[in-house]
Amino acid sequence: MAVFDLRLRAYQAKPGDTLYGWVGIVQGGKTRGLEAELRYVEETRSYDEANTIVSTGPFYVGPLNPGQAFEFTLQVPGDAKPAQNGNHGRLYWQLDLKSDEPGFDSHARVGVEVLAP
Amino acid sequence: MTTGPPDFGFAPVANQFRGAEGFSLVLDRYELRRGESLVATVLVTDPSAITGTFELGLVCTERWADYHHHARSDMPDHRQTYEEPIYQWWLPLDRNQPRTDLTLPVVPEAPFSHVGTALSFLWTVTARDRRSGFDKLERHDLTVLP
Repeated sequence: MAVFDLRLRAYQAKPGDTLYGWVGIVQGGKTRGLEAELRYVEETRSYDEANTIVSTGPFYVGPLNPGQAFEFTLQVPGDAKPAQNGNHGRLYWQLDLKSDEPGFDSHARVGVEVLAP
Repeated sequence: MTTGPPDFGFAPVANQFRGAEGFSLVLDRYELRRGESLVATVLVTDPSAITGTFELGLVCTERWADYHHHARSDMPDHRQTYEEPIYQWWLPLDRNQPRTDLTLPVVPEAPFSHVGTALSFLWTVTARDRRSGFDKLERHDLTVLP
């Protein structure tokens, strides 16, 4: 499994803003597709689902070597809602970098705060 | 065959009420932002038809899905949806007033509307004649924007 160092230029954004991401390869491997997804997650005790997903699409395929780095951008939807907590669940934004690999995929995830309009 | 909003798996949630008799409810808007207000108008056409507790409520309901694992029974594991008011404000109404206009503020820190699959926050305005059996009510959905 690959290990990533995932960073964003800013972890706070307004609806419509562009997120600038950087990912460094800490532990290598081979990927069938490296892509980033911005997900609005609905989390309850049992479930973790996203119905709003913005994806970069695969931006790299091939061997991953320590020291390699990639940059990517994602646009926060113009109608994005902020995070919200209920008594039995919460809504929040998460940037999920995933590497499609045989067996378990590798992931690196960071939270993003989307501000209310 | 059912019509109406898309089915997100909330169908088992029962709504035990009947349509309003002797009164009706109209809102001046059906979409607003947190921190804004709306005006609800209750019109009473037949006071004698209202026999229970007559009231108007602004309610936000949280709906969430949980997974149920039945370790000690033959029931299959399944996804179940629950709902619970997360915010509610009820005001008494006078059945002898032919028309009542009430301003309902949605406070800035209130939850906003969200319709999802695992978690939803749903706002409604309801005028009801609350009885020991079925309530008689008129309910309108409201969209509260962040």
